[in-house]
Amino acid sequence: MLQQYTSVGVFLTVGALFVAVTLLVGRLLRPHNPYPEKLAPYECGEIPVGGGQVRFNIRYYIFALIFVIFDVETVFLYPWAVVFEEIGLFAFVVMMLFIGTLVEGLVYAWKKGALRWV
Amino acid sequence: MTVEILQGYLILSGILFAIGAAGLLLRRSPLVMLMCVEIMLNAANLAFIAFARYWGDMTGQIFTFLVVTVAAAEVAIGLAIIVLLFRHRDAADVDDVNALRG
Amino acid sequence: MQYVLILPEILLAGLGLVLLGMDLFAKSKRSLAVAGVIGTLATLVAVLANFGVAPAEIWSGTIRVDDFAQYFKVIFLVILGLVFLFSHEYLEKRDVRMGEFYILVTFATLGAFLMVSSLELITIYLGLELMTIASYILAGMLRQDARSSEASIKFFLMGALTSGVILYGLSLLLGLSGSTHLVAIAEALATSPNTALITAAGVFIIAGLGFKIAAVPFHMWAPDTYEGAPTPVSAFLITASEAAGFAVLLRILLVGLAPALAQWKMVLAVIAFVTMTFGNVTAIVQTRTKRMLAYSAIAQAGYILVGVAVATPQSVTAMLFYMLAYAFMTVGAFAVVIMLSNHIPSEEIEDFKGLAQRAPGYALAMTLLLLSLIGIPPTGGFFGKLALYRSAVEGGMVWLALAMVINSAISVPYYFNVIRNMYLAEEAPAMELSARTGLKLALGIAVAATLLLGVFPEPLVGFLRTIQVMP
Repeated sequence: MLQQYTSVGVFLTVGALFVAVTLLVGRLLRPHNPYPEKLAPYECGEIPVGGGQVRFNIRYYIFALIFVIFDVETVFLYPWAVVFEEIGLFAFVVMMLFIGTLVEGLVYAWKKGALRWV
Repeated sequence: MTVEILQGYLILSGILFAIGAAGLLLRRSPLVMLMCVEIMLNAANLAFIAFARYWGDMTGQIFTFLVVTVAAAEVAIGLAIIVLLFRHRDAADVDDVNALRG
Repeated sequence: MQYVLILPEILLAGLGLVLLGMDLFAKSKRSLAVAGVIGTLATLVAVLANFGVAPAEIWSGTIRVDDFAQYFKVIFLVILGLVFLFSHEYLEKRDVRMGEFYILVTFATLGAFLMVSSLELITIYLGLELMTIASYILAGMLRQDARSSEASIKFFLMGALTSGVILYGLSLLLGLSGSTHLVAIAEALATSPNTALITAAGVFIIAGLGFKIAAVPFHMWAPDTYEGAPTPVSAFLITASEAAGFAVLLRILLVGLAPALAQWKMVLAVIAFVTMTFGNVTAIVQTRTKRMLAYSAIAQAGYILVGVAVATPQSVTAMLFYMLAYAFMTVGAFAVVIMLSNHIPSEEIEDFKGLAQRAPGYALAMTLLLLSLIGIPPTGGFFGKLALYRSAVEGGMVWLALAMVINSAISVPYYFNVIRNMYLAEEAPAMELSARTGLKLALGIAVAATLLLGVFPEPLVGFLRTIQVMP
């Protein structure tokens, strides 16, 4: 059984070596000239304000929540897409019902103001 | 898949389940407890997939898909309740939740 | 044909989606309650039309339609209808978002529907989660009240632990049999040599469902949750959620785990005994109405569990009868509590003082419902308890039957305490007591049904004898 893992072991070793060698070559070849602007975190060209490790506002969670619903929906869309050809119209109708239900939930959240930043 | 490999997966899933259950019972931060719930559900998922492979039957994998969905819903609701709790008191710690006694 | 068989589920899901839309556009939230009652009645008609249909499985066995499932659906719909009828004024006074309440309670009932109408673990699990996840939100709907949030988080954490435990038990059943269908599982277990794993699966599932029905020692979340949750939600959880838990327990124990049933009977009997005794003894010292009713609900779960422990056709019949009677009497009692708390928000047992002078009709109704909870004729509660008692004696568990009688005696003081407060308390604060038509109607239905089940139990019992748990 262990032999089956040989290829995995070889793959891991080669992968690790590749990363190490690339970084090493880069360090040897590149010029070394740090100054403060270059060392600052990149924020689309803006001058960064405040520390990077702040608590995020709890309101972000509601967007994450609504994202998760549609994220998980994909789990069901994928197998559906694979067998769609075989089942045909019935599969289409059923999936539209499923998505329609989710959309109604989204509309509800929207109308209730869940997507507004207050 | 042989019985030996199945046993390996089941031992792993049993360990994960024990970690999740112990964390849920011992830790006091609702957020950590939520993560422990996820570990428990995923321990069961691992067992489902291992069994599905062992029996050569897809049912276990379908079950796992649905459990993932349920877990997402459960976490969403759990977070909402924790936010609600935050509004009533600043600290989120289940030991501070003790208005109901008797 | 298969769509006719699951028409009740389709109608209920449709009702939920319609309410979701109505909540966005309807000006008066009252129309949601009206639509809810109409939808419940339509679903009830669809369920009743399916009675007596030969048991059928559709969609590769994921949905099973039989009289056992139909009967439980009637119980859930009765509870849902009564909740729609009596909640409005309470929700209005406490500033609860009514639309969300009506939507969630509908979807929770849909979850209960799915739990009972399948022998397939996936459907049972999904139904269970749909019901409990909706219930977590319902328990926390009094958003200004810290006690409601507390009820919600406790319910959520225990419920999440429970669902993990049940799921692990279900995965073991799949592993032992290679199937998620309870009949196939029973066949595989009968010849399986892995007795240790079968026992482990049984432990996980019984412990998990023990949480759902709030059996001791898995009850610790129940009093807090039932007390802190909005009162209509407590009424729903104590009756519908518990009945659904019992239905699944019956299905899994008597169908799936049937080969290993003998080893569980004694364990269940002990759990039933401890549950009823603990519930009754603790209820005596309570001073708040909802907490008293919560412990009373734990005790009642103990009585119903006797039916599972005895596990004979007679005991199952008795259980089914008692659960319908229990739904009516408990929801009825909660209707009176809600009426009272609409005027006096404190919800202490003291609030009942002098109710007989202020509102004799409500006092009489409450007395009757409490008598039914104790098990005194001529009420449905009496007949159900008698049937459970007889089935325990015939099933060879005489000690359990004796424990039921002693427990009924223990329960008398705390139920009578309410009656004493209503009739004998001297100084009664003068106050106008009124209620909307919906609440009056709900209370009237509950009282009438409780009496009817006590006076004419035979037709229902005769029908229940024909119900088979096993396929």
